[in-house]
Amino acid sequence: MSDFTPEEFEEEKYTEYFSQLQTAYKRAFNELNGTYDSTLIHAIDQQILNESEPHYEGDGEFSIELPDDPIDRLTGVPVSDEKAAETLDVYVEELKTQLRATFDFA
Amino acid sequence: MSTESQSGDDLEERINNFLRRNFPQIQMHGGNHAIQNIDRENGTVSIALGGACSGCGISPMTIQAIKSRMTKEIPEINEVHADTGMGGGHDTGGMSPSFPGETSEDGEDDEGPQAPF
Repeated sequence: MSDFTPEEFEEEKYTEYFSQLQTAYKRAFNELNGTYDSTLIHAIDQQILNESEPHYEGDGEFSIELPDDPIDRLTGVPVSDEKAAETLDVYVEELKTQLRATFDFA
Repeated sequence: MSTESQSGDDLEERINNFLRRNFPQIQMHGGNHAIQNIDRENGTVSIALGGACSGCGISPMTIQAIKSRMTKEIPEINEVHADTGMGGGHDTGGMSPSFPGETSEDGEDDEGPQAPF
């Protein structure tokens, strides 16, 4: 189990914990890319998650801060807003799961 | 007028060195970066990540890390715009992400050359 406080994580996430973050994001991407519409998953990855930020909330829980109006950021994807929002929710949950697993909280 | 990247520009060189030093994964895994614009007055820089960086589950994290770390480590830079230029999201799909060393479920830390964090 990883041993850091939310403050430490915030301070060091892009240095000390960067490779684990990459691993978690990559695994979430791979997991969903095999299950959901690949175009939508790529678009979420490139157009929404590029402005996202992971935070550690304590007790092994992570959160993902998304940009404002995330669905409005999607372009070039032929899906309804509802479907996009639903998939984004699943993506964020998967990211949190992968973060917990990567940092040995699962 | 913005100070476009000029050759011999020290700031540009430092940005390139920063990226090479701290984010060797970009190149090691088939990606590349290009400085599109440097505005010294406002302290902003625009960087495009290309190659394997487009459509890879790791690029959002890399972009955020570049933004966060560059503004801390290069005092002249206040703001970083970085993206993979893949705004449309309507690529062919199914492209295989090929960033750092997590082949499949090979456990944790990838070894081998890593950023010197």
